[in-house]
Order: sequence, then C-alpha cells, then structure tokens
Amino acid sequence: MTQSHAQEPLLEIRDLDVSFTTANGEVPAVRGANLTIYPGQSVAIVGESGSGKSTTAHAIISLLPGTGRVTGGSIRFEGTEITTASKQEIVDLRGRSIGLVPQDPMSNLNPVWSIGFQVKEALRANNVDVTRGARKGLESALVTSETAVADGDRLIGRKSKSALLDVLRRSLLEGHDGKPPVSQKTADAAVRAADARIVVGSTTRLEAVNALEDAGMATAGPAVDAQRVSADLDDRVAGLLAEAGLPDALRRAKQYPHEFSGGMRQRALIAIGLAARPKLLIADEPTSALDVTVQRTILDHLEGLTRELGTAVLFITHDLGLAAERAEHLVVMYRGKVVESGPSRQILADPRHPYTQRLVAAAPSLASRRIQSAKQAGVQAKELKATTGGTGAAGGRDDVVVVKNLTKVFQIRGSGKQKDFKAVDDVSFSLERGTTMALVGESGSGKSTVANIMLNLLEPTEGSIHFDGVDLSTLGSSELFDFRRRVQPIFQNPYGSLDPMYSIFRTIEEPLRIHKVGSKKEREQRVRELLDMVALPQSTMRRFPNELSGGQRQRIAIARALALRPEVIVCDEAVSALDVLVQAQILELLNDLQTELGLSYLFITHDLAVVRQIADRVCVMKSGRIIEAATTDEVFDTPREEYTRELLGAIPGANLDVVPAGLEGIDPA
Amino acid sequence: MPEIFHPESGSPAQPSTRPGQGHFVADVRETPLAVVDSVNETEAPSSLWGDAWRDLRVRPLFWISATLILLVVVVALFPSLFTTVDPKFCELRNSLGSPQSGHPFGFDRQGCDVYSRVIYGAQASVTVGLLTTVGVVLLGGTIGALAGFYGKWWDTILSRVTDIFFAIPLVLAAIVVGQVFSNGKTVWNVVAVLAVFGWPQVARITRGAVISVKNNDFVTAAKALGASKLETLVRHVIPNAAAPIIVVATVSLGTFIVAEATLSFLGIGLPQSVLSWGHDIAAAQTSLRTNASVLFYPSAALAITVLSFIMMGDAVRDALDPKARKR
Repeated sequence: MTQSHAQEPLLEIRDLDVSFTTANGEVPAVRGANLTIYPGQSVAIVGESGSGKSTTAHAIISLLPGTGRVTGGSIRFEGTEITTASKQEIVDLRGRSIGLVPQDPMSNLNPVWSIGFQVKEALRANNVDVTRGARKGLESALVTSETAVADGDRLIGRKSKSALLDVLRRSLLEGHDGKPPVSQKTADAAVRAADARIVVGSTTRLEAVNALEDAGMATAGPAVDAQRVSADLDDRVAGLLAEAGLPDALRRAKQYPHEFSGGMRQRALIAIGLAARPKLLIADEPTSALDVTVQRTILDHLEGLTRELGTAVLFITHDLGLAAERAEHLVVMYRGKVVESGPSRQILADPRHPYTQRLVAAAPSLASRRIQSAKQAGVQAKELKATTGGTGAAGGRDDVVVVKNLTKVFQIRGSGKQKDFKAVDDVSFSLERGTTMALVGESGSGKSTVANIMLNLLEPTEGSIHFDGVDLSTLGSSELFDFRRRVQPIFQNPYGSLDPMYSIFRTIEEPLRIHKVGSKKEREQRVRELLDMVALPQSTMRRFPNELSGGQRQRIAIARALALRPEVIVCDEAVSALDVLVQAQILELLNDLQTELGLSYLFITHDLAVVRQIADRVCVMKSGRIIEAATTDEVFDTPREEYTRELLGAIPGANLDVVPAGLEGIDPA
Repeated sequence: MPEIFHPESGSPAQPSTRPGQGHFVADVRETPLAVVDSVNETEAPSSLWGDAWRDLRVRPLFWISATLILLVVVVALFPSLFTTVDPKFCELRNSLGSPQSGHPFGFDRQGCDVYSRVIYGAQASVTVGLLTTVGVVLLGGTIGALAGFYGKWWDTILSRVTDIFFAIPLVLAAIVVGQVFSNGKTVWNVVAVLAVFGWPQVARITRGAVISVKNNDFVTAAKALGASKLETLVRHVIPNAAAPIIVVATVSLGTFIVAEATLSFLGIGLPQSVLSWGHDIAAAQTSLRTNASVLFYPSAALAITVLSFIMMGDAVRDALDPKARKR
C-alpha cells in the first residue's frame, strides 16, 4: 500500500438504508450498510442473491430500480453527499466520476448501434470530446511553443501513426543522423515492433517518441512534433477498446454487438465504463456469464488497467473465491445487512460471523483447495468430497453406459451454402454404475450435445451408446419409451424446467402418469415419498413453482427425475444457477441419493471447482473432443494437457495461498 | 497470517488497515441465520391464475368493464326484464316522437320505441360476438398451435394460408361472401362468415406464443419423460400459451360486434327480422338532422358494449403479463 493512511476515502457509505415500496408496504432491501473505499483500492461486496449487494451498488449511482429509494444514512463521494444531491449533480457524477460495468454483456449493448458508436456515446455524454480538446491543446501549444500540451493532444491518431511509421521506415532504409542504412528485413521488423507499440488513440506522443527511438530512429522527437493532427474521437474510441484488451480495435469498433463473443462484449462494456476515466468503477458481477478462462483474462486485464489508471474498483459478486482473489477489502452482505467486513485474507482465514463461516465452507473453489490441502495433510479426501468413490467390484467393471466414437454434425445455414459443424467429434467414454462422471468444458465444447444424445433427445450422426450392454440405436419405439424410465435429466435453469401451470404434485406425478405407474392413491404416496427424499415438506405438493426458490425448484426437478427409479441421471449444469450455499446443499443431496439408490450421474458442467466436490472421474472436452479423461484426483493433481491446466488455473481463488478455516470443514447446512 | 484480531467494529486489526476498513463483525443477533433455502409453509399456495385474479380484483378498470359486460349479457338473455314494450310494435303517428313516460328514448321514424329496440338489439350483437370469438379461437388457435409446435413444413404451409387470409379485409370478405346467403340469412351465417375470415390474428398470436413456450426446458423435460408430442402440446404448451390468446379473444370480441353492426348497417348482415343495433343505426341515418337522438342511442349502446370488452381485454392482459403493464 503506497498511499498514506491519512488519505481521504473516495467513497464512504454510512448506515445506508434502502427500501422498496410494494403492495405490502415498505420492504427494506439494505439495512444500515457501511462501506469505505479509498482511491485506487479494490473492494468487493459478496453475498447471495437477494442479499442487497447490487442494491447497495445501484444506490451509489442513484440507479435503484422501480420503487426503490434510499430511506436513511449517507453516501459520500469525495466528500459530497450523494443521497441529497440534485439530479444534475448525479448525472454529472455518473460516467465521469463513477463508471459501471453491468452484469449481462448480452443485453447491455444496443444491438442496432456499432460498438464504436456506443463507446463514442459514453465519451460525448461526459463531454470528453477529444476533437475539441485537441484543437484547444494545439493552440495553447503553439502559443507557449512547448512540447507539453493538453491531455487530448497527447494521443496519437491513426493518420499520424501511419505517417510516423513511414518516416521510421524511410529513415531506417536510407540511413540518417550518421546511422547506416539497414536491410529491408530489419526495417520491416522494426516497423512491426513500433506498429505494435503505438496504439492509436491510447499511446501518448511521448510514448510514441520512445517507441520510435527503440525501433532504431536516432531522434524521433522532431518527427512526432511535426504531426500536428492528433487523435480524433474515432481514434480515441479505438484506443479505449484496445486498452480494454480488444485486438484490432479500429476495425472492431465498426462491428455490431452480435458479431462479438460474450467476452469481447464484456471488454467493450469495460471500455465504456472507463471511457471518461472515472475514479471509481463499479463492476456488477462482471464476468459471471463468461467461461472461466475468459473470466480470468478479462479480470487480469481489468486489474492491470485500473491499477495503471489509479481507478478504484468495487466488485459485486456471489463468488467468494473471486472476491478474495481480486479485492483487498471484503464486505459480506446477508439479508440486507453487512455481517462482516475487513481485509480479504483475514476474512478468509478467520471468518467470524456464522454466515461468513458457512460461505467460506461452501465456496466451491475454496472447498476444492481444502481437499487439496487435506490430501497434503494426509487426511482421507473422501471425507471432504461428496463422492462415493466407485472402486466397484475388483475385476469386472460394471459400466452402465458405454459411449463409443460419438459424433454429431449440425448443418448450419450460412449465406447460400450449407456448412457442417462438428459439435461432437469422436467422443468415447464409459460411466461406471454407482459413480459420477463429470464432463467439463467451456461453452461450445459440445458437452450439452453429448447430454442430449444420452437422453435420446438428439440422434447421433455416428457412433453408438450402449446402455446396460444394449445398443440404443437398435431399440424400437416402445423399448425407447422404457429406456426413458432409466435415464432422467436435471436441467440447468430451475426457472425454466418446471411448468409454471403445474402444481408441484402434478409436476412430480407426471412421469408416473405417463408411464402408467400405480393407482391414483399409490402415485400420491410416491409423490410424498419423493418430497421426503429431496427434503422438502409434503405440504409443498399443493404449491406452484413460482412460490419456490431456485434451489427448491431444483429439488423438485430432482424428485421428478427420481420418480421412475432411474439408474442414470444426466445433470446438465444442474447447480450452476444456484447460490453457493444452496449449491453445496444440492450437491450433498445428490450425493446422499447416490449412496442410497445406487444412481450413476453424468455431470455436465463448466465449473471445475464443483467437479472436485462431486465427481469420481472427469472428461475434459474442448471443441467437441475429449482431450483428457482421468480420475478426479489425477486431473487436479497431475493434469496432462495444457488446456486442463489453464482451466484449473482459472478457477477463481485457485491461486490463493490461504487455507481457509478448519480442515474438518464447517457444515454448510 | 496474523494471529491477533480485533473483531470489534472499526478498530484497526493490522497496521496497514485504514480508517473504516477494520475487521468488522456484525452481532449475530441482528441478522439471525435462516435455514438455507427453507420453504415458507405458512403462506397460502398460489397459482399463476390465482395471482392474476388477486391482481385483477384490485383494478377499477376490471370491475367497471365486468359490470358493463354482465349488464349487457343479462340484457341480451332477458330483455323482457328491462322493458315491457314490444320493439316491433310501431305506430307511424309516433314517428320521431320525443321521449315520454314509458318511452324514455323516444320513437324512431317508423314510430317504434327506441329504448325497447336498443334493449332487444343487444341479443344479436352479443350472440354474434361470442359465437364468432369461440369459432375464431378454435379455428385460429388450432392452426396457430399446429404451425408453431410442429414447425417445418406444417409451419410453412399453415403460415402461408394464414397470410393469405390475413390479406383479405374482414368486412370486404364478409360483404362478398354475405351475398351468397342473400336468401334465408341467419345469425349462424353471419357468425360463420366472420369466423372464417377473422381467425388469422388469433392464429398468428397463438403460433408466436407456442413457439416461445415450446423452447422451455419443461417441454424438453416432458419429452425426456416419454410424453408424446401431442400430449406435450396439449398438457404443457397450450396452457402456458393461453394468456395472450385470451387477451386477443376478449379484444376481438368487441371488433366482431362492430363488424356485425357494419354488415347489418349495409343490409347484408342479419336478416331484417332480427333486431340489431346495426339495422337501427342504418335506419336512423336519415333522421340525423331532424332527430339525432334516434341515432345516438343504438350507437351509444354499441360503443359501450365494445368498449367494455376492450377494457376487459386490457385489464386481463395487465394481470396475466405484469411486464407489459404501462407505467
């Protein structure tokens, strides 16, 4: 920490109360929250959904949704009270002093405008008009005839850049200032090096001079000074995008959001958030929609950029591992209150509040580390993991599912010609009875396609699936109907997988009814049994999905999957949408059910941290192929493939050298 | 890791901690830990329709339109409760006579009682409106649901057919086809003509709603359970797609009443023997300058009836889809 301790806080929230007005009166969302951020610091608010973390962040920029309003306390930004500030003052504050990187990169960019236009808008809205600034700077530079000029003038524009590179090439080839001419090849290399270093709209004139001199020019100062025209607005937009880590920014700025991947959109949003060089950047779950490896590069880049600019960052996240890794100060919120706050390491190593203790115990990334440390300490990993350990009977392995050379080709309608896309490419694996196999991969790796083929919702192009020794492709329709009973799915989105019109009873009863199992009375008895199994009260039967939380709905989905006493359950990202504590609970439930009923799970996930907690074996998929298959311990301890190592390294919190409290683990329930 | 902590709020735990950033721990008693993800067993169960009803019953718009609709329906079913005057008893000496006791709206050109004719005219309008709507929902709903759910060539063919019918103006088609039934027209002819040309809108709405519902995971889940396609469509997709269809049906009920009045006005709708607001409006146009009130009453009755159905459609839409609610 380089700043002095006497420094004034950048943001100071004291006893903040926020409530929402509903039909049932005022509902408090945040109660007495305290938070302090110093300039250049990174702070994270951690909490589950509904804990008030996003509400707190939105109160800072007065963007509370709907009927929400601040009912008490104070928010001071650089000593100015925000809660009582006028509309105009707040508008001035937004963007220029406080930037925001929103949560969902898919919906936060306007699809009808180019990316560059949207960045430009952010600059214009905050009156950071480079063109005008440049002109003024140039005038003052001419008057005082000094090289030090105004801010906007210091950036290199695209015209100047190509002119400067030409100058560089010429002087190298012809020789200058007593330097001998160099070969064409050397000159090309030097120009390429300078080209890479000078970023249009981001590199200052002084930096450009250095870059040119490093490339071989004896004195570049006069050449740079000769370039009177500086960066215009388009150059600055490209510069901002380049700073946010977007390659080939000048061309990219002309593209539209649909041409960008999720990660690139998030980079564009970061560029917009930082466009006006705010002192504080609020990052609301900035990467929760992205793959882990993309998440890591973006957060690394954000960290570097904000450190360079001296921007303070407020992370809003549900991921304790990510928060602890990226922020020096943590604020844990629970049911609208700050329950614990302090230096990250301290909170992780010694959580004091029971809720924080629960959170630390349940965080998948940390739990994964705990297993690692436990193993080093000689503790049997089985006690910490939710796996059943499928050693099977010595000798013959009992494989319930054998997948051989599975290939799935989709035809994509392009312009005119049909293109083939191989979503799954020659995939083979087997699932041993009573164990869990995880299929891990990032989005687009083909893991969900494999799941859908397993569930017989998609036909494979090539290859076979043997279930209990029977080739599925040889089955007739009535045999397939029976097969459905033996393999059941649990889907990712607990909000979409239950019919909102069906009561819980009808939902769980449906498979029994379709397969004509038992009388009406027996079916009701079975539904009660199943609700007991997933630890929900039997009275839940009369309720509807909209009354239940995500975790409870996922329990219902599990109960429905179990209704027909299946042997295999395909869990497609079954816990990804849930809060960590609920996630831990569901994983434990799945494990208990496995022990009790001898189920086999095919666990499809992008989250390696979760894999460690549940799986016996792991297959890592990339671009439709399985690139590594081994036991979970092998994959975590001695990953063979570079890609697997990359995935492991990208787990938030994986690099923390903190072994969280108590190897014995704290019961998350 | 440092061994010493000062968990009291605000007190510095480490030398490097800055003011306001010490290790703070809230009192557990302030926010007692709830059991993770427990079910609230005390609240009464509520379904989507239950919620919609709770939402509807606090809306004045709903109550006003419901009262008006109820009134119109009662008038249509039991006109004799509201008047004892025979609407077909006309005396020319009363032609365009002003209101008098027992005849609150006065008399038309033929000397018939306007009040009585307005009361008896409700029956034709409401019958045509309701029956046409039922027909349109059955026809359009089936076509739209099949096109949306089965997709592929089903969709291609049915959607094109829908487009063709959509391109034909309802009233124009009804006029042309109505000529066929120039002899022996009945209420059923009018209903059939309106239904055959009125279904495309419902078909389109249904198709869209079905497509958006069928991509939900619960439909895939039903498939994975072994439910047949038709079973999935009837049991899962259609109930979830019903809300927009109900809204469109309610609103278009009003437009069908207008269409019937238009046809009757033009003389190709209901037979002259059936009392209808359309006929009365047509007959009254000649008296517009001499006695406008003869035109006013049947027109007002028509407008209020149509308005109440459209208002009901609005209220129902807001209740079923809170997102579409105007702010």
